[in-house]
Amino acid sequence: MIKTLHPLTLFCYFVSVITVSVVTLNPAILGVGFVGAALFLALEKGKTALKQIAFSVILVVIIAVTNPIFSHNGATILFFIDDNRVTLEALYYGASSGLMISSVILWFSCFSALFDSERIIYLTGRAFPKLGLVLSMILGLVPRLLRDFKSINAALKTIEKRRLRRYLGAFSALITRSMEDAIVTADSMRARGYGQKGRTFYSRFRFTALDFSLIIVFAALLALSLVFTSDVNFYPNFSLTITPAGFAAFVILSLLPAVIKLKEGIGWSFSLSKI
Amino acid sequence: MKHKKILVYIISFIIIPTVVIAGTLFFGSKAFAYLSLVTAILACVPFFLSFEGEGNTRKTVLLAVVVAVSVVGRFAFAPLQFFKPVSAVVILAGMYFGSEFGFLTGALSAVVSNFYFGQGPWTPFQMISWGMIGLIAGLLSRYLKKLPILIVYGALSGVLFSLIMDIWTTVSIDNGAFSLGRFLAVTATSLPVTAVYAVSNVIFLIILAPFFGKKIERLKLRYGI
Amino acid sequence: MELFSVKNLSFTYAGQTLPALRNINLDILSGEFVTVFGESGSSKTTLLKMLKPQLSPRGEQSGEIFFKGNKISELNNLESASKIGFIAQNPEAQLVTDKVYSELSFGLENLGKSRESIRAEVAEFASYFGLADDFERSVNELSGGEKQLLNLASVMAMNPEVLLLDEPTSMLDPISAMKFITALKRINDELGTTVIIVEHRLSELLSISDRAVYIEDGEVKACGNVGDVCAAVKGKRIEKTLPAVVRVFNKLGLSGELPLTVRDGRKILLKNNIECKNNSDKEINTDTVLSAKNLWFRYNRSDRDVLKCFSFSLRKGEIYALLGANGSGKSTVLWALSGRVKPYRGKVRCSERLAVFPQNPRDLFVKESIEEDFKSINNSYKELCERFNLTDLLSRHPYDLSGGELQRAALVKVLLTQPQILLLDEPTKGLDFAAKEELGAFLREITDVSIVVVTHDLEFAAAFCDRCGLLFDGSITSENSARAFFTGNSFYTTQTARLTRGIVDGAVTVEDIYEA
Repeated sequence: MIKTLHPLTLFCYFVSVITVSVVTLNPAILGVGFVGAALFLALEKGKTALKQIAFSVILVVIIAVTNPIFSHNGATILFFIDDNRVTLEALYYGASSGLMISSVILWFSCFSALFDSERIIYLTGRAFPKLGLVLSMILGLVPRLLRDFKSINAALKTIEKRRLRRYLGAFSALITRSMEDAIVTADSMRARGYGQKGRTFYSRFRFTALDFSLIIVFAALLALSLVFTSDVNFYPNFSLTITPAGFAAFVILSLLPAVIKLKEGIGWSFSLSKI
Repeated sequence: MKHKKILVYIISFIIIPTVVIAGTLFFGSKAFAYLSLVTAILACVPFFLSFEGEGNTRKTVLLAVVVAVSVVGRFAFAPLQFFKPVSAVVILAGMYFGSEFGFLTGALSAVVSNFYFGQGPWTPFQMISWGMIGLIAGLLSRYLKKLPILIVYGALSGVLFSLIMDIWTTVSIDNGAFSLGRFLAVTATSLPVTAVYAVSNVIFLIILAPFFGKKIERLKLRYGI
Repeated sequence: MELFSVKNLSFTYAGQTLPALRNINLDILSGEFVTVFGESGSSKTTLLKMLKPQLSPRGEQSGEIFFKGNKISELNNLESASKIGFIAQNPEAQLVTDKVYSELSFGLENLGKSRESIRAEVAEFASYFGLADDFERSVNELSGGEKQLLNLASVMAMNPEVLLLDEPTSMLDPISAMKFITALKRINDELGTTVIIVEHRLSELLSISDRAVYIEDGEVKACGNVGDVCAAVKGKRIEKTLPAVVRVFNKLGLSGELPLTVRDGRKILLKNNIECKNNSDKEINTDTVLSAKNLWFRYNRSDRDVLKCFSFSLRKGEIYALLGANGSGKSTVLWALSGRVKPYRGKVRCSERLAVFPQNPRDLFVKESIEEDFKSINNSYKELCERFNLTDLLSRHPYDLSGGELQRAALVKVLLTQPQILLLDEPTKGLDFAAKEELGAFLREITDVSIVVVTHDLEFAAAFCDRCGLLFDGSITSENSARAFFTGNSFYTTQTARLTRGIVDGAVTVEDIYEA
């Protein structure tokens, strides 16, 4: 279901959820975001996501544990290293900061999982049509050039035995060749009328009523989360408040994709069992 | 054309710093991550805008080709870790095709290669860093034609690229505050990588620069780009 | 009505003194299928590009070109972009975007069409060209032939009145080339689109063309119906590009209407007495220099086997042609023999120094001039260059050489490594007949090297190779001396052999046939 949505809708979603994540250090909010992102990623990508999630958890731990080494604020002293205080507050702060960084990284991964090249080109192309076209050209070229690099490298194998030299030779030959071919491509573009004013932009995506209403929902949830902020204070003493309206809005926002994905999975197996 | 250039410089050197400073004052250090992300994305906009007005089809195709080449370079040399030609290609693109072209090469190389190596909050920062390397190469193109200066710039940009990324890492952990101790720790861990970056930039520049120059002259002669 | 009318056209490239085109007069009617041919360097491509304003080269022009009665220079840009379609040689470099659907819509976007009309037109053309299933695919997943068909479809999507094609099949294998030409024919028949095609592989083209144009040194030397033009080039070097059936007819000096198909040719030959030159096979050394025994290979564990119990041996000094359809694993054989891939069962024995000549000779050149490239191997290139007629080209950039020159330079570069065994991957791809003859002659000349040629080109194999083998289903299914191989096969053989089968024994090339 999620992939049937218009790229703009998906984009608005990620903008909302990432915006909330980067303006707060409240560990409760960030924790919810982390869970939402990790859950969705696991549902979307399956096993390959687990490694990524494990890495994120480790990142949180590393930042949490190392923060007291650099920051000595806070009232609750756990112990001393040399003459430096190691405080509980610094540990909390590190954990929150780590949660923010890794949850944003996870949200970006969710973004990548949903935005294939067609969606990226569409979004870019809507704002900057020419850049969108260039992006599409690059994505077409990369696999082709990689294949060429391999074949040049193979052709030179019996001639040049030194590996680094051969690689560099092949790489410069690749530059030459692709620039020569660029002329043919440019000709083919002009032959098909490129370079005139009034170029249109074709895409296969349709913007439906559902997209429209979802964007409004995201905007509302974003506004609620930003207006009713939940405060957090680390130094000298750790204190955490939760504003129910804002917190609830963010819980809904960040769990939405995972819930849809879960429902979808159940729906599919249900409809299959009917058949 | 002239106006557009001026606009580009105004946005990159006046508006963006103003947004950062004003934003920090307004939100306090709390929203640092947000601000830095927004700024990095914003900074690319003037270049993208000015590219839309560019009319030369061959140059458009060449941009695609140069970016594709630099991304493929990241794969091609994969057996040699951190030994990547991206910065060298970006510098040469800026030198020979102008600073705008250089910026776009850098920024697009970052986005596209992260398609394959993973997007993250670092993407906009890589875009800006590589973009700037290309932009400055374009501005300094007259001096960079001398190989020793080019080598120094290549090494420097390798170091600077790492340092900027380190500063960003440090600052985003502390959410806007800068802790020297943490910075040193981060820099120390990335030191070997930084060294390889600088060395590989230099090696690629020494090999590619004379060749690239001839290549471009040939294209100019044959096809009038 | 004339679609194109070229009046007294002359053209000189900027910075050159000799004109490339001289006093061309040519009328093309709406709906015609016209084949233009001539030796390389005869400026046939220049003429074609003059008909497409966006691609016209810079230089000095006199005379005029009219498109539907109006001067072509006065045509507005969008009109000439959409009405006059152009397809070039290289299938891949012409592709602009990354997906099939965006490639199809590219031209329509340029024309400023609305989303809905693009959607409708693209759907229509994808269905017509059988690309509907490939719609969402990445263009890189298509084969060379499919890529060229996609180029054709993307140009056709703009609904042009005329298609200009510059050697569109020269980079394709014979089967894909045939498919492409069939598609062209269908467009011409069903839509009435005018087709003007420049090509050096004429066997399939001439029989479907309304008219042919022969160009020599920038001048139209013959123009008219196919038979007349074929008769007009009799005795010229270019005659060798004509289909074997035409050449046999010309050679025997038969009168009557020129046959263009094997069927018509056989009818005529049956009425005449012909003989075959009695060629005896060359003595072949029986020493084996390279052998493979029961090779099994697959690329991935889960893939199917590409080589199945493949056995092969190469004798000293011979030229062996390995033939086979696309995807039969011919290139894999070369890689296995050269040690680039390791079979999981079986062994390759190679007693001598071996070199591989890649499918794309550009792959071998990494420097700014071919001399620098030669120097990087060793300094004894002078003598070889002399022999291969390259001395004058030494300072040139490899990419400025013509296909044939590049091929020769690549051969020199490979030979500089002093191999005793040479493996060539599709060496005739993209070459015109003259370059092929030259290549064949050079391969014949280096008798101290044993050669394996992997090729689709049956005519080339018949003319220059000693033994032939057919690769099918992962192993060599039939193997014989070239003559016995081609006279033994009934479908997979040269046109001459098909033409003379049952009429005279043992004829494989046109040269074999004589009047009784």
